[in-house]
Amino acid sequence: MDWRLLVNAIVTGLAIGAVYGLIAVGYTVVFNATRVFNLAQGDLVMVGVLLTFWALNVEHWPQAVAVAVVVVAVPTLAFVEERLVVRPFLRRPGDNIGWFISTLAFGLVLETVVTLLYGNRPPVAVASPLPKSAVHLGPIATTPQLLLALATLVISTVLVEAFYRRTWLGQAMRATADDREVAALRGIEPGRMSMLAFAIGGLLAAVGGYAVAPIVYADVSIGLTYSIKGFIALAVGGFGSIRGAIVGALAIGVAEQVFDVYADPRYEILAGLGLLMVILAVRPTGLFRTAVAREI
Amino acid sequence: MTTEPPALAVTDFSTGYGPMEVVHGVSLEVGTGELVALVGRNGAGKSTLLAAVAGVRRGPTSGRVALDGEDVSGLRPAAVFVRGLALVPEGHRLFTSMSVEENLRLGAFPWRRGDRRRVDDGLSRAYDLFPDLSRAARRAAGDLSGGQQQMLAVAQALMASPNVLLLDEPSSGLAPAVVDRIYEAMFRLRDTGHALLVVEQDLERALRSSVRTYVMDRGAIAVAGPSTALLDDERVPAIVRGTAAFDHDQ
Repeated sequence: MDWRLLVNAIVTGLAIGAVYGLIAVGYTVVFNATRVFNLAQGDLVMVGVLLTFWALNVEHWPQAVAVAVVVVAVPTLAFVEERLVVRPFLRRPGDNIGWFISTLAFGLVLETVVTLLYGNRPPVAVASPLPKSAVHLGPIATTPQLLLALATLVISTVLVEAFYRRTWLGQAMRATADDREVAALRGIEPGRMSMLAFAIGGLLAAVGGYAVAPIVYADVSIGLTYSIKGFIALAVGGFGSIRGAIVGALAIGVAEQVFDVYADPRYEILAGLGLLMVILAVRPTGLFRTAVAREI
Repeated sequence: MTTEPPALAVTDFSTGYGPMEVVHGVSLEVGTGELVALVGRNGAGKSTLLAAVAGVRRGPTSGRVALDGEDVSGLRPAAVFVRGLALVPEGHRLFTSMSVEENLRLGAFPWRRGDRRRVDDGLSRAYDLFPDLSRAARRAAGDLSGGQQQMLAVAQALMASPNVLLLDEPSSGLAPAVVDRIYEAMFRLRDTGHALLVVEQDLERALRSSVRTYVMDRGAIAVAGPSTALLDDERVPAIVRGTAAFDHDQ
């Protein structure tokens, strides 16, 4: 066995897993405040990627302007999604399924609108501010873009965790997730918390979209793919746990890359699904057991 | 001479679940420094009434709720809370994934900006009222005993210094010694000028602890009066135990 090949597959897998991780953390932030899985999360990332492509490749704007456009536009879309397609279902106690269809539909609407605007083009490389040459860390070869994705995941996660643990609003969001009605009885507006959660989820999608655009290329179809992979990562890691989301995402990224090297890249989705089945057989609540996971 | 309005006045109040009205035209009052009991058998509409008064409406609601004369009908729960009414729902519901102290601090959420003293004072009062909570400050609320959870639920509601406290079955499922401690705390609150409306399943405890009792039956007030007088009223146990039904047309 070529250990160098394996190590490189693992490192690349960690970086690809970082992309899934950004989606999985976005899922978790929204879920922890609303008990809603935003099934359009991957499509929000796709919009971030396409906007990055449009700003850099088409308009040739500076990187800073591209970032600004993406971090304003994508959270705004998430905000609109919360108001139009999620809030009506949150207002109906006992309706535990309406949001499932509505968030999925919102994602499909995004894909349709982007397809109409962008057209059915083949995947196109997005300009990166980083050099394309490989970075060598001992026997490991990787690219600055992959390292940027990993760094974005780490920084985003640290900030989200700090927000949850150290700020009033973060704690109010956790409280809303624990008991929406009691939160309201203590002066917390659950509607504002869900709006904030969607905005943060949108911000994660925006930052993620910008950071991973050079890796994943401009391609409308990535939305659904990443929505599914982010969801599998959640199931592996344990619903409701940020750490679980990250570990699950990185594990799936690594499993896919190792599968690519030693099996057939066309069927790499089997690696994630296989890992999911093994984990759920051993730990039905996922790797990181949370109260929410136990409820589910 | 002007008369002070009661701390809580509920007038001709109706509410329900979805299209179904389960509380019909209830009127009741709780004055400052009063502990008032609300009793009735399961399904009489007591919890639905308390929740709706606190702003949690699960169906069409009509009538008036006033705090110190200010109309708060139609306000959302957060707005009612800010105006001085706190509900402790049945079943010691808490933010179970969070610590005792985090739960307490969130009880003062509306005053989080620039009023640190109010939060600190609230914490001191909570720990003074329930010393058990001070010793468990860093434990997760979900890991506490039932009695401790009920203490925490009451203490959390008190963080914002509400004038009116609604307690839905605070003794439910607790050992008698723990219930005594909860009631001691409630008496202290009453004696410091809080208005308390308590839903209680233990009829004798309700009548002996309160100044006035409202008896609910099928969503309406069937009997009301001074608790000492109702102690000997045979209709009350009959309604509460379900062996007699009040004729609302009488």
